[in-house]
Amino acid sequence: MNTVDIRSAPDAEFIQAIRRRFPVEREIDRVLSRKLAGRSGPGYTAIPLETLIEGTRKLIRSQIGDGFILGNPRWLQGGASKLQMAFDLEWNGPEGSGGGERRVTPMVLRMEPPEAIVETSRKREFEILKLMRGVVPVPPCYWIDAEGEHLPYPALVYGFAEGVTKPQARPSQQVSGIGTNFGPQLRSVLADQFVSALAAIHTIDATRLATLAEFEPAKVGSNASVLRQINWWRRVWEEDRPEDVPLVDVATRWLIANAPPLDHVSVVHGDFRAGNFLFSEKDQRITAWLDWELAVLGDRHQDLTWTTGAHFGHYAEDGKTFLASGLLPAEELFRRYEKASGLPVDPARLKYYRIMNDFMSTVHMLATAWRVANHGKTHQDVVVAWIAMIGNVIVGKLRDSLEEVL
Amino acid sequence: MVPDIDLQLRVVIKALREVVAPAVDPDNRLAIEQFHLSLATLAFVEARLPLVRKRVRRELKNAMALAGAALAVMKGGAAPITAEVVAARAALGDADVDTGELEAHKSRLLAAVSAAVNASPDAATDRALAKAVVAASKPQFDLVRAWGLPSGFEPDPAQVPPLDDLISGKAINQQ
Repeated sequence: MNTVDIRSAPDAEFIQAIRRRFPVEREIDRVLSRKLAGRSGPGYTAIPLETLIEGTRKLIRSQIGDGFILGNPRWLQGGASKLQMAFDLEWNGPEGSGGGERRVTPMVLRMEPPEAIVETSRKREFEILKLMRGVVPVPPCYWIDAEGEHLPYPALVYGFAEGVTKPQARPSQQVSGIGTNFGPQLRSVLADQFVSALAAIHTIDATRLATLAEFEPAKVGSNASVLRQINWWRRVWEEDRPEDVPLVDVATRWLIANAPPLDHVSVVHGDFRAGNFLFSEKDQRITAWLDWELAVLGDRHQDLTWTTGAHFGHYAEDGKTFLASGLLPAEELFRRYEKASGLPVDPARLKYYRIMNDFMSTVHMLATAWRVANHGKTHQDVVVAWIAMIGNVIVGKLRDSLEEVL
Repeated sequence: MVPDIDLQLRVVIKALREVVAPAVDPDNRLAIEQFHLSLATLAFVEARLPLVRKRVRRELKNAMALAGAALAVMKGGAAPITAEVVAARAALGDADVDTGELEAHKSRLLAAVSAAVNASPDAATDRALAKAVVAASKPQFDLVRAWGLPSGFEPDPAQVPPLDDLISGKAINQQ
């Protein structure tokens, strides 16, 4: 590796230069600048559960006063980026000033480590979860500690959603839900709900999207929001990479030169796939959609290509049919999606966003995952370093795709 | 040398699997996941460790080939890349150069090529350089994919050439 790596201890000049070079949404700029400012600080050291309990109590007390009891706290597994603690809250509910009936509500604290495999905004996640209530199943979102005022790092508290990410009888050998095999019977039931949810997310009314304060607007007929998102990940590449990969530079130049204007503004989930929804094994119903931290306002094709990405699927029992997200063939997914959403699926945009997604994933895995594990910044560096290997698969796919379009 | 690195890794893996694993709290899902990934990582390292130096040398050769492909289509500004190629060739010819230095040469070569991509003076060069980089990147990406096969992330492992062929350069000569 390079003997002097400015990215290991970026100074104010380096940070300002990056901010000027890659303009991004205001809230994204805030969290990325905060990340760089803390880069040379300490890595993650084990946080006792008691610290999270006390911080969560402080956060809740600041919102509803003393009338609650936090019980049954426990670590929660899942995902590759955030620390999670489940607990039960005995309280009087959110009605008025907590004047409802006494009840016990299962909840989850979701807190950032010092740096994560994707650096994102809890404010945006909180806001988008609230927007999604009534659109698709999501956990109710209660409180936010946006700046880590009460907890060691920024965090959210939301409702605990019952369900599993993969069938208990079919344990996956992979992490983070990648390559989940639901089995033939369950996959057909879940596939319907999966496509319906994607269509519902993408067709939220524009007047509701306009209420989002932490998201800068996107416009039909303009590619400004696409370029802004490319800038986001170019900036992260510049901040985190261990070394140059000339193909990534080729990819960014192609993406900028070919960015299509939006034909419809959608909420893009950003990580819509198996592993990011919970379902009930008892009644085979999706109970919650999770991990909204990468959500943006943009083009539906970004989600459509993400969820049909090669690394998130597997072959069916016949050894020939590739199942997107382990659920259904991509063409079948697109056909059903068009019917459910009333929006067309454009092959040219699919091609563009497949390259964009592979570019973004390359940045996540070959730059940020390496960087945060190398600096010991997370609670599960061994998981992050393992997942980083998927970047080698993705950058190979990115190369193949670029070869087709150049 | 006694004990050799292979033996040390093997005994650690055995101790973790046979003695430590049963003692991990079955209710601590986070600990269980990280324990199993730690074991998988150690097994990965055990399998790949003997090949590290050969891989590093091949990666530098791949970077030199990428640089050569870029130079072939550039109309100017080639000096920084040429200088790095000369230095890399000398390093490869010196048996005392350690793997860290070889990797540093590779990083500098890649940086020089990236700089050229981002500074291409006209559309024709831009396109030619892009195509050259895309084509010349394949051996390196095949290599890292083959190296990472034990991770299980490759959706179709049969599509990836054998690691030994990629390290030796045999696979590259066949492309």
